Amino acid sequence: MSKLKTGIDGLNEILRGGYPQGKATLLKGGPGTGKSYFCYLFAKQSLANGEQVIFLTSEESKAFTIEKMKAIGINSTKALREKKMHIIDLSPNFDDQINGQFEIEAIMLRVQASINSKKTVIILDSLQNIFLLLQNENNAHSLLKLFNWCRNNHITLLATIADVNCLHNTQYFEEYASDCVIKISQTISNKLMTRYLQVLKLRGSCHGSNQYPFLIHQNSISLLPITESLLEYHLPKRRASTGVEAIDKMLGGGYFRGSSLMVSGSSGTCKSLLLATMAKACAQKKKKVLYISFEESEPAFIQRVKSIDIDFTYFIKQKYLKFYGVRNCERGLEEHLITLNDLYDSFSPELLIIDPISALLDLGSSSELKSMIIRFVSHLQKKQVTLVMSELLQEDSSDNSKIGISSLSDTWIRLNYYETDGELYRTIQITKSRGSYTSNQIKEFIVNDKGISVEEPYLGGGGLIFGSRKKERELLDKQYLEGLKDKLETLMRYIENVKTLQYSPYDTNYLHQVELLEGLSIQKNKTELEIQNIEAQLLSNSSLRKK
Amino acid sequence: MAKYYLKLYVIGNSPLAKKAIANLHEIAKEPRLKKRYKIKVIDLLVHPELAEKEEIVATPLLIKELPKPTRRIIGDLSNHENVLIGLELSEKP
Repeated sequence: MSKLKTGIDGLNEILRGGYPQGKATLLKGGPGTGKSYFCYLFAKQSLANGEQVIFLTSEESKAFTIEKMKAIGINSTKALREKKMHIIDLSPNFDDQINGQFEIEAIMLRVQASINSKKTVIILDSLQNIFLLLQNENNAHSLLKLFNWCRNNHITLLATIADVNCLHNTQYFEEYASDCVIKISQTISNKLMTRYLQVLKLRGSCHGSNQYPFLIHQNSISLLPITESLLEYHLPKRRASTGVEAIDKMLGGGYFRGSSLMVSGSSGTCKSLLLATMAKACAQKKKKVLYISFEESEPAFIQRVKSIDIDFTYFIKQKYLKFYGVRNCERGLEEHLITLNDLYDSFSPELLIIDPISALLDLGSSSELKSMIIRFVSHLQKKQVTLVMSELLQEDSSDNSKIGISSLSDTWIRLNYYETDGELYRTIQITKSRGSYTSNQIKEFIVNDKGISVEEPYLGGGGLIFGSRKKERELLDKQYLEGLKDKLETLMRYIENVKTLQYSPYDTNYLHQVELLEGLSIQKNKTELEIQNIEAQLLSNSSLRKK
Repeated sequence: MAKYYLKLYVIGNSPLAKKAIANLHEIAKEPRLKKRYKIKVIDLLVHPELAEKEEIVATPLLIKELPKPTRRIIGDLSNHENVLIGLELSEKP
């Protein structure tokens, strides 16, 4: 079955190509669901495909239709002049008197008279306004002749109708006369409106059967269906730098391009600064970065990252970086998703940063958010963009990821802070990274005015030690070791000295000497053992733990 | 006395077209209209371009071109009195 492109990318995917060619498609939906936009976009697409468009309007005047078409980018005056498009005004004239029975074949005559091409699509917006004129049902049936006539002449028809049940309390069978029925609706949850689209039927073809959210904005429609399988994509092989050499090393040579990364941590673990560093590293290589923040505005963020020596204004000027700040409560979950996708499409960055993704949790349940992110991530994976998300963990949640999506991402970086002896220190660890040999070690994560650095922990006798205690412990251990070595040296010297004294075996001092030497060599052995112990511990700690 | 110029648009020889033409001739016999009218019956199958020009949705369609203002009546004109009201010829208040 051949299909005609709808002018809406997502809908083409759901309908497996588009509206059925040479068949009738019915768009059904209540007021304000955007039926007319589907019509205009289909007109635009069809004109671009070289089809002749016959646009029957019964809701708006011809002049208004021309204006609205211009607004979405159709050169309607030119198309009309070149007879590529005809607009037929079918608005019922309510000054007309009705006297007795009538028929509406005139509509057919007008349509037929305007056809001058073999490739024609007819768009009818909307049926119910014509029905308003036609009180008796026979006429509704004769209107359906248009459907059959189109089918017989292999003309593609797109008609819209309101949910007529609420208007007439009668069940028309236009749904059954059409080959494809698409229902559009709007629902309000959490006081936020979302429009949904569902394909009720599509004769002779498979189609996506879910309710898909869509968005009308800037005179176009966005839909984001997930049709591709999550597991189809391949893990990319090229790597990119995070901007911090030590973190790259921990990741086994940087993150994979086109993979998804999750940075989790509670408030104050410097998630955003790590993301900013990654953004800088990417922009420096003249690759585009899109930074989406649900927390901060552009000027505030620029100023903040300046404190760690990152100058975003330069990258923004060079168009390598785009910052987009939006409040999470401004839109519904789906609208956010679609906005993000459109932002992505218009900028097409290599790196997309969302900070923090958990801000969207306020807008729905975590299962909704999870499914949204699954769809979004899989959508991006198809496009081979690197997605970096941050997740704000509550202090009390300790290690648990609230969203439970950490397992979905390819790489999971955990940031933490600990308090010991009145001192706070931050740590970084790679919890997982698919396809990489990563460091198992928790390392110290240091942020200062030069940016982010990562330091090796001190592997003393008592395990991993961070912060100023690390220095202290390092010094103490060093001093202790040096002390031991000094002691050993003294002992050795002493033994040498004692050995040089030569007594006759019958001298009483001889016995003293032997006893002294024995005691000294025991002490020497003890000290040697202690030194060996400490050195072995340091050595084994560093060799056993994967750096 | 102003002259009446009436146009009746029909499609082919459909039963409704025939009915409307018969009804219109019946109405024309009214003394109020006698010898003051001119009727033109137009078949849209012969002149399909006129359907677009007059923006016709439903037929039969009676248009009173003169005297102004223009009036349009849709239907088979079976209710004679209403047609006369529509043509502003009714004697009833």
